[in-house]
Amino acid sequence: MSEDKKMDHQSVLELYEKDPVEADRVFLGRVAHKDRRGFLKGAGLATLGGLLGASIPFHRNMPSGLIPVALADENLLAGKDGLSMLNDRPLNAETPPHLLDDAITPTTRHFIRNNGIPPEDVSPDNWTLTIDGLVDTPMELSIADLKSKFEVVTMALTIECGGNGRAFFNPPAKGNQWTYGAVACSNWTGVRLKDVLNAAGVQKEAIYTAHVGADDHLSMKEGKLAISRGMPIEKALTDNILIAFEQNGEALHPHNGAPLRLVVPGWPGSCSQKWLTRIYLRDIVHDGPKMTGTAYRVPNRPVEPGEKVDKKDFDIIERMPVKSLITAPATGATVAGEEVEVRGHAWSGDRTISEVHVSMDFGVTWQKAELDAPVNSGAWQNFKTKVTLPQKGYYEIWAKAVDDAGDAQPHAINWNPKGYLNNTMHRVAVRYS
Amino acid sequence: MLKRLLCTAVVMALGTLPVAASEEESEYGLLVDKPGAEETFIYCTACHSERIVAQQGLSRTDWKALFVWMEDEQEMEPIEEPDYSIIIDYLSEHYNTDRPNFPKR
Ligand code: HEC
Repeated sequence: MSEDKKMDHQSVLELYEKDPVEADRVFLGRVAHKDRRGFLKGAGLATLGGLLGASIPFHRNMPSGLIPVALADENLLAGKDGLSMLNDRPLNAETPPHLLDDAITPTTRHFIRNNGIPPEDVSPDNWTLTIDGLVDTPMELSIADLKSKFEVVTMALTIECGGNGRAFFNPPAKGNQWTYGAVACSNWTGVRLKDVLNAAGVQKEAIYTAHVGADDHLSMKEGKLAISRGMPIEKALTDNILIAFEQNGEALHPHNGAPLRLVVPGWPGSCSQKWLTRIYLRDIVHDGPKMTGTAYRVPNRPVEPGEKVDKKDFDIIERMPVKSLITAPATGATVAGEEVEVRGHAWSGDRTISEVHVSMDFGVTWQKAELDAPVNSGAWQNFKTKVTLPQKGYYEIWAKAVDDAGDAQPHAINWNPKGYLNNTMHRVAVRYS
Repeated sequence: MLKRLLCTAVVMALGTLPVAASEEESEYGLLVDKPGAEETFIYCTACHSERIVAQQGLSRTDWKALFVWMEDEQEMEPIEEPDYSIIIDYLSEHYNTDRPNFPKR
């Protein structure tokens, strides 16, 4: 699609958002009738037809102000580049591994995991964050307050969805079928959660945080939260958790939680509440939506694939396991020479990666890759190495990370009913011809 | 406003526009056009699109359990007969663990 056409979609959508009836008049030359239906005629009809790439046999049935869903779809992933969409409503999209090659993930390549309906007004000016519950001094802070009262820091932080890799579970596990790309490491600028909680004064009964965002539940039921998770207070008081108002030096992307979100690196992405409006401290393990039942929980013992597990035998997921991703070459690539550079990232929640090994012969022999130290705690680590393919043919490149506690990535999925924590080795196909 | 329009857009006659994202899309979006698709589409796209449905591969028991979860925790109204059985039959036939209709991306 040409740049021009994109511009057109953009301006059409913007006006429709502001004033649908006026947009109809301007773009389509139609005026609403009493029954809210309008007639498309002449130039208007041709314009819309042009945008859609087809004529509209039932144009007389189109309600006034209705945005053709084809145009709306077009814009769903605005500000994102190359993501593949799992769901359009609510929007969920992941990034193909080869587009995650950058050391710091550009905003355009950061995955989206939405549970509810994002707020419409995400302007930072009137946004407030409430800190209450078991604190000495409850606070209500604007984003300007956060910036002026606390040290502002920028950190590269890895966020991975707890269900990344779910698509490979057999029997299948329900939920969005993420493959590899629900992980990212952008630069986040904000203030430390720890500093804010300490300023409010953590009372000694507090054992857990509870996070609230401004997104609505999909049912639009008044007051019902789509998701509200939390973490143990000891975790909340560590150094690398941010209340972030910038992503890669700019405003957060609306679907990444603009204007304010938590970033809790190394724990399931759901801990990193988006569109953050409130954090309260509790004397019980938080029981908000998606904290209870089997959400973000795994069995407390190894189970057989397909096994039915009693709810009481599930534990809340805390740190995410050791994992790596090959970002070059792209899977399916054809290479012309025998030497191939392999690049990627590795991470392990609350831990450091000590080694990454790469194989090109289905795991018989392994070579150690060059591995960077993390730029800060909570950032993924980049690795690279060159492999030499002995002759023309089909190869698989595998990567295996080992963390500083000695945990390595497994070959086989540790199956669990809800499809979390798949940290099996990433394999990419390469043809040398 | 936009949201509401988008929601209605999906359930309206617009589905018949020859501009759907891919050729394979039926009148019921990603749902395979077999008996029961219409009921499933009507009941299951009020809150989210059919894409979350089409991604699943679940046994009949797990589909039933999902309905219970959707009612208990996600505000779905209980579905009356005969629609309940029509939808469960449709889902367990076309979206079972063997994933005969897993959407291509
Ligand atoms: C009243 C609103 C509502 C209706 C109606 C509804 N759902 Fe849902 N559904 C939800 C919510 C909320 C979620 C959770 C979304 C999330 O967190 O990503 C959900 C999630 C799902 C999931 C993913 C489950 C998971 O574990 O993540 C499936 C599958 C699903 N719905 C199927 C259906 C089917 C089939 C129907 C029709 C029988 C239906 N839904 C009707 C609200 C609804």
